[in-house]
Amino acid sequence: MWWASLYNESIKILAKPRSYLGFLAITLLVGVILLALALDGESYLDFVTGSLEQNLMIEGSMLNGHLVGFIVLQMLVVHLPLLVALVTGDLISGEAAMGTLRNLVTRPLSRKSLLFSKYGAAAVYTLVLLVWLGLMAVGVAQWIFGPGDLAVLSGEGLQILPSVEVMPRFLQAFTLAFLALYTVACISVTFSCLADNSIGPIVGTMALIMVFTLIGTLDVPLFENVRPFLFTTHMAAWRSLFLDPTPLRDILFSVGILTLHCTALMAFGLWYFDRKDILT
Amino acid sequence: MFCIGVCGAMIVDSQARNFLPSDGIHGKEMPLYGLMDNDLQKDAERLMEKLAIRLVGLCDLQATVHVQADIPRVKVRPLTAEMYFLAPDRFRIRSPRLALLPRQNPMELFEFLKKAKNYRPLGMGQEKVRNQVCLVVNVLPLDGGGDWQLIRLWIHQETARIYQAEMTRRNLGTVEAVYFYGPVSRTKPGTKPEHQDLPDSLLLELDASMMKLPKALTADFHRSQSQLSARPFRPLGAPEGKARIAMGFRWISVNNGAAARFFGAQKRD
Repeated sequence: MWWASLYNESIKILAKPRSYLGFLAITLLVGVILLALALDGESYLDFVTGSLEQNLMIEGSMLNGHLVGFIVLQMLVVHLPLLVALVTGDLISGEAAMGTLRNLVTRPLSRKSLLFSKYGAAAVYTLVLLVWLGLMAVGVAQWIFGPGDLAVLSGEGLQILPSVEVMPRFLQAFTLAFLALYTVACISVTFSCLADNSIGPIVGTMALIMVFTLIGTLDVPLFENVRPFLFTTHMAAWRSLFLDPTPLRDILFSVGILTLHCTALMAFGLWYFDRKDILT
Repeated sequence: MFCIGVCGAMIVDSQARNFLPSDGIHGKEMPLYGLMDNDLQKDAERLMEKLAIRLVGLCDLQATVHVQADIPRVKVRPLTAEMYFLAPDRFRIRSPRLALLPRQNPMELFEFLKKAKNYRPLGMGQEKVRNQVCLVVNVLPLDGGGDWQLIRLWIHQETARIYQAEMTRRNLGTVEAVYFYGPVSRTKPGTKPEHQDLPDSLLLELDASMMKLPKALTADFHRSQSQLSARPFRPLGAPEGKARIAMGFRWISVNNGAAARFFGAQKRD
């Protein structure tokens, strides 16, 4: 029965026009970035390699599908939480606003199972959105620019990863990015249980991300002990998968923190929704 | 030969401690070996002449080259590529991977030294490089010297091989090079003399103080503790502000037309 409910919830998401906004936004944004890099990518990279090329010669093209995919991911992963929250923040509160929540819980399915299927549908939506981003960012970029070694620029400097290692790292990075985005989805679904309109959960989720990001980036000793436990600190952990050697312990810590957030949010959501007054 | 070349390039870290030319250049160490100025100059001219005659024979080269780069704030794994050189100035390293290579190709020095009319050698003294007595020769480029400013060579007196070089150019600044060769006794019978001038491996050291990298192309919010505490990646132990590039060669073809065929095919493409 839970699977049937998950299927129904997924269909409901599909039926809403706002669900396609994310796909449209990704397509447009990736299209614009790919066009810009195709037309003027070399000068964009000169910014990185300009001083290196005074003394060194770079054999091979740095501007390739892998690098373009990586740049696109870095740029868009900041915006993806909004696209996820836009849809998942509406899952319960939207039903409450339309007055269908009461009908929904009269079905022979426990409230817990119902909410669990909502969380499942949120996961499906997040996954499909990420797969679309992956196809656009990595697939189309490779088709246009071709494969090649990936030059990753981070605070530590420039690092060149062999082409054969890049795709498995992209797959792992997408898995970790999924976990990060699913945490956002869990927040908005849980907030959605608390509200009777969609605006509150969506804005609330984004506000929480902004506040936590601010705390994470402020170099104040007061926040030093808190920072490692904020989910926003680990939302870009996928980038670490492109480091050589991969900081496995840090990545596992990030996975642990994100999983903990998801579990805690789902547990709270299930507890609250079980007791939610749906009559008024 | 290739293994020795690669190993030579890899072990240069330890040898590189003796890499920087000592302060005893410019004749200060001459009394050590008791050479008179006149003899020294004659020796320098004789060695350079011998070297130039042998280098003239290096026209068309193909090699497999193993490259390891040690550049500040750049982490790149060693790679193997194909190198082609066609005298006087056609040089290409064809790599299946992204490679960071010195702008000055390893053959440029040899090519410059071929034309004795372009420079004037000055014997400066003798020094030991890797326990071998070498003659220090300052090569002063004359009018036809292009952008070469000054070349200082450490040449082995018996084999006339360049053991070490310090090259200053207008466009590229100063580049120091250490050449490693297989033992002469190991050279196959029938090998032409010019083949003996091809190094098994080469270590280049260049100034990297002007190489600045931006922090990131996009915002880097997530920096793990291990990233922050990671030690800089310096596989060849280059000193601060310097970059080193080690190249191990396996010479595939010498004057057999391989490079001419390669560049000919490129032209057709």
